[in-house]
Amino acid sequence: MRNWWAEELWRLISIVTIGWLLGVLFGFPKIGLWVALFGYVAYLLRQLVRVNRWLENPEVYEIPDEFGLWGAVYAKISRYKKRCEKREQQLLSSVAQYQAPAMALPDAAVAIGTDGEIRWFNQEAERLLGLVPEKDIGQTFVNLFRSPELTAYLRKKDFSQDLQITKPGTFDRKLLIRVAGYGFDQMVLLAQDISARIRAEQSRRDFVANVSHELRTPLTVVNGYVENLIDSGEVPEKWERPIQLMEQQVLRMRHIIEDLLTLAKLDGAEPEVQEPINISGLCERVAAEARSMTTHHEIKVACLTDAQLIGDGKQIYSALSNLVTNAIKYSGDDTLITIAWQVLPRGLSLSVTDSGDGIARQHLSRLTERFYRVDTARSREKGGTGLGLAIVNSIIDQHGGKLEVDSEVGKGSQFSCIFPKSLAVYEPNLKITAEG
Amino acid sequence: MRMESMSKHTSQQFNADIEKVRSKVAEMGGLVEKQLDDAISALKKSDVRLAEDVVAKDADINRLDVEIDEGCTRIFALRAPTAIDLRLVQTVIRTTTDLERIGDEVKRVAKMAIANSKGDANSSLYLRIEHLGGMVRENLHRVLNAFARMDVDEAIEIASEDKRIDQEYEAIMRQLMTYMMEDPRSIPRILDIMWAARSLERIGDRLQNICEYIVYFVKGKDVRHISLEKVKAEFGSDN
Repeated sequence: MRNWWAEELWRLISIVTIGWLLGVLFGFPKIGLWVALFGYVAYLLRQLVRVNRWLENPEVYEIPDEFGLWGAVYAKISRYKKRCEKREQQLLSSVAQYQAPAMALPDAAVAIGTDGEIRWFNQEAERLLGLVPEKDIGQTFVNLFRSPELTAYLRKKDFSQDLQITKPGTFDRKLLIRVAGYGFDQMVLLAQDISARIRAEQSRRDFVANVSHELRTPLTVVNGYVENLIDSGEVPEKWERPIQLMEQQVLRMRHIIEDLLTLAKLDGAEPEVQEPINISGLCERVAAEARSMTTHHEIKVACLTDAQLIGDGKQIYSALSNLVTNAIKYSGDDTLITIAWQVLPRGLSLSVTDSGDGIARQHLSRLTERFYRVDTARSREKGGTGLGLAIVNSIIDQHGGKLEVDSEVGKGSQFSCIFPKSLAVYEPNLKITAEG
Repeated sequence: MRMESMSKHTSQQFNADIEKVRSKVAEMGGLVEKQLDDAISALKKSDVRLAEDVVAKDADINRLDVEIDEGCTRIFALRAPTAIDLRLVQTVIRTTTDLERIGDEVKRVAKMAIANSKGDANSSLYLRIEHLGGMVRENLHRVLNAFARMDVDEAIEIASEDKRIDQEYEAIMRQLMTYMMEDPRSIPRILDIMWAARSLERIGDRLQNICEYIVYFVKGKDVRHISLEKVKAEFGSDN
């Protein structure tokens, strides 16, 4: 550290002394003193003006080059400035580093501020949502992208479920919209064009339905002739067995086709009917039918709630009856099968429990796949199509619920249809008595 | 636009009020757009259910019309807007009126779709109506974008597009007349189609009005009843 006080003081004293000496030389010592002092003040002012000028227009003026204290001050300011510039560069590059990947996202992304204004968007958003770069920053997003559904969705501020909309101004472009909130009431909106995917799904569905439908007609003809043959009583003895087998297999194929058509109809559709279903009555009906099918099983019904389920009664009936038929098929004689209807913390549960052989753990997750069989030979022998659980799963899915399977080898299995609680209604008079 | 006109206000509430009214207009526009899409779809697919839906949903547009009007009256009463704010509120009121009328025309098209769903469709006629509908739809979409961005150049360009809609409308009229002369029994049905075409053409005219309001808002000059060429010469960007 240099002693600036001493240095500057020496300079001042030497200037004043020189001025005074010159004054003495010319015979006006006082004037010489004044001139020297004024000179020094003028020098100081000049430095101030220069530094101010440089700070105002750093591009035009260069850094003043000076000795002494002023030089040190200039050097420090200049160093500080350089450091700031460097930091700014670093910040900019790190911002760019974050923005570049977001810019290149394959989905359209828009950052929306507190007042619904557009903060930022990427290239895909320009293309897919028709936003104009630069110009549209600060515009209200829903003013430019006017989909009534999306406006309502954003207003509700419940983003737990994704939204599917038709792109405004088009008939068939479907967009999948996902929104995530961040910070204080800000959000980022992601949009993806899913038209192609939807079309592919639709054509797959159509294909299955069409093939099934086309196969049904020839099969009916074959079935008719086989039945005629059997009824005619003219079949030679050695052909009796083969023809019987033919009849069985034709019947099996017909079942598979019926099931495939049912599945195709269920896939992705909303339930056709939405009305309260009397589940306890439905359980009793399924149980009565099951009892007529078997004499080796005991079938119990346990309805622990009077809640009614909103949905399509026929579908729920067919799901339940599918599960009960399965239970009968795959559990040994003299075992107990329980149908239960109850309210659980995670939803409304309609379950079928058997004490049969159970299913090994590795099969559980794949049970609802089409044509998946735990034991192919045995399933065929029992006359299954391999589509039963897939249909049950589709029906429950359609109602917004899910199928849960719990099983232990040697102890038995439990198939539970879990429906959201919002689907429950209670008989009004029952409710009043419960409250009173 | 938003930034320039808004930053001057000392009252945050004023900003919020004006922005809210503008957003409502966009919402209403979005609804009208969807209605027009659905009406044309219904016509194309002879979908009575969709058409009935369109007729029912016109009430939503009317409700928004009333809400926006109330909002504007409030701004007039409480804030006494001046200059650009005054023009904005005026623009909003006029645009809403036109949008509401467009909604009514769309409803008429939907009703025509219902009436004609039973009869045998004359496919070439429908194709032309669809084409006209497509042009109108495109223009509606662009006008609403221009309104949101308050984009004068775009507004002037759309206004000049209206000529094409008028030409298409005239072509349809001529075709309809020949049909009527050929087969007088088809007149009742053709009259229905004529009304639909007429409605679509009227929508085009109303869109032109909205373009004029946009010019009025940004440039502060009323360009109604002035020829398009003059407007273009005075306010176009190449000037």
